[in-house]
Amino acid sequence: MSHLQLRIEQNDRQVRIQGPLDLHHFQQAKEILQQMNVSDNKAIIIDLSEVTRLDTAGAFLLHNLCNATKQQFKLENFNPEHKALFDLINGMNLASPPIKKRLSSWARTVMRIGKATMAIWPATYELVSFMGRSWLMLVKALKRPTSFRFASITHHVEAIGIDAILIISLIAFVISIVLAYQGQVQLKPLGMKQYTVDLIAISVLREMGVLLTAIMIAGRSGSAFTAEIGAMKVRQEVDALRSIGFDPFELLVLPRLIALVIALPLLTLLADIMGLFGGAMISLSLIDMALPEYLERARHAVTWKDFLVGMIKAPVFAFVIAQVGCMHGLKVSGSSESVGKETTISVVKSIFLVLILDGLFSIYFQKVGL
Amino acid sequence: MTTKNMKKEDIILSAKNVVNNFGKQIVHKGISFDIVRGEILGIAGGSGSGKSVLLKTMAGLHKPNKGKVLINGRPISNIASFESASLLGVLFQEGALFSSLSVEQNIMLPLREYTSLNEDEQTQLAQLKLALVGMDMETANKYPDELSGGMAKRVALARALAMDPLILFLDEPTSGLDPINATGFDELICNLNCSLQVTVVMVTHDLNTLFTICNRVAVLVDKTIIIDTLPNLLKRDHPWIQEFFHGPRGQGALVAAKNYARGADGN
Repeated sequence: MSHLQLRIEQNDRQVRIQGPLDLHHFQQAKEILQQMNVSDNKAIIIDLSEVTRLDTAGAFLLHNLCNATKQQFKLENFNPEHKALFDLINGMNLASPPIKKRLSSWARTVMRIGKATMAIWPATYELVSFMGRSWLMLVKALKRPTSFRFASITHHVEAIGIDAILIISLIAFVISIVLAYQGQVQLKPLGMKQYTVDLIAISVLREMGVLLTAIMIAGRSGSAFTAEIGAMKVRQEVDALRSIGFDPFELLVLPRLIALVIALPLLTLLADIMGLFGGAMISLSLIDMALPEYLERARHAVTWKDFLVGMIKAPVFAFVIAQVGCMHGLKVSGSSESVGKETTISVVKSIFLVLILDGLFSIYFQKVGL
Repeated sequence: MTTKNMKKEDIILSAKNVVNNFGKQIVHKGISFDIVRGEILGIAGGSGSGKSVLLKTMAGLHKPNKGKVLINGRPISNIASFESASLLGVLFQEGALFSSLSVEQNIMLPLREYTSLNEDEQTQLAQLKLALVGMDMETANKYPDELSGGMAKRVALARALAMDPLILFLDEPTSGLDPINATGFDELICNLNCSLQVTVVMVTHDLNTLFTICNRVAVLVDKTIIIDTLPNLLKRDHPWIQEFFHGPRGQGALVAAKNYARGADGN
């Protein structure tokens, strides 16, 4: 034990070790023993009769001493138990595992960039084929409506939609207030403060409402999809489903997909309303515009097309978020670490795809004049 | 092997009046016992009799509602974490290897944390422990999810041994292993017990393990513990003990253990 002292006494060619020769005294013993050297080539005799405890670390030290140093050592007066342990350690084949050659840091950086670039194509292929499979399953399920898991769908609509009402409302409200505030600061000196309303109404309905909701849901529900399905994968529940004859795709992916496609447009509508409400608050307090006036102005500023542009995007974003979330959940393998990794990738990827798609939509709508 | 004499008659761990209950459900109603240095103690009992809770209590992972556990005469609750690492090692039922670390890093973790050894020495000691549990060196760089159940248990045992603890707690070491691997694991535990002088406390259902390598067996019945050598335990007329040891599986294991002992003597 640590309160016992290790003492090593050297007397010419005789070394006497007293006390425990264990892991806690490894460093101390190593330093003393490795410095020992006598000028002639005769062996140093180590007397071990007073060693109180020898563990694998101590035996390993003695083993190293006998085999790896130039100086010759002779071990004497082993306690029989200690001798047995020493012989066990000494007889072991301690060949080192093959050491992997490490590349220089810049080479590794280049390799990493290269690997990440090469991985884009398979990842795209994977996502597209997963989406294709989802469509096929969806069509199959539509032919046989009883195969829809209504209980599961309603459960997910509640988890994705109803539970998110408060946070989505809050975010839409706060963002539109920020937007309106910054807008009126810029527009007031130009004498066009009433255009703040146009700014709010158009940007919330066309972009901000749907985009913020989609990003929030990707972080909130997309990640939950990956983690839920991933944990089931780790605990072999997915295999269990398969063994009972269920298709995990039908049971796990479809209900989440359908629920999200239902919930996200509804949440977008909510975000639009809350966004306009936030704008009204700013108008009322900073540009002296009463509510009826605000509404009248907003009605002239936007058409049904602006609302439609926002709402059309919602189910598309929902589809992408659900697909990415579920796909990465099913990609989880074995370890709990992989759940975390896939969840991270899933959230980053779905938000990235939502933003890319939003850009494409903007170009498309501009071309078709919406 | 069952009649192996205990070398030193001193107590390494003693439980004093341990009471464990979950809500109103009492698991242990004041149990006391001693564990002798260098022995292999098997703990048996029906499902839900509190074997794993008792193991956790002894390892200091579960605080008993009443009573205390002393290791080397000191209450386990007073032992600092770095000290407990070199006092006791635990092999969990599923191995509980850290999935983000390689096999080698798993074993090195306590060495890195609690000793001043340099990287090379840590690696070498980790490899030594791997060799000690009978794994080849190619395993060192693998990750836990690449290991089979039996390999994972051996690696977990190597991690439990990393700090050369005085007591080794094993939770169902042979569950989930095939008979060949299970026998191999029994032999490994027995060899480690002899060569490292480590005290082994294991929870097990495996009658073969209880018959072949355990010096004493503790049985958890009626919320209390009966602890004795196996021959004495077999004479008790408690219904559960009778059924456990004298049922068809018990008889089979007894015959196997006798043959095994004879074979060992023959060699």
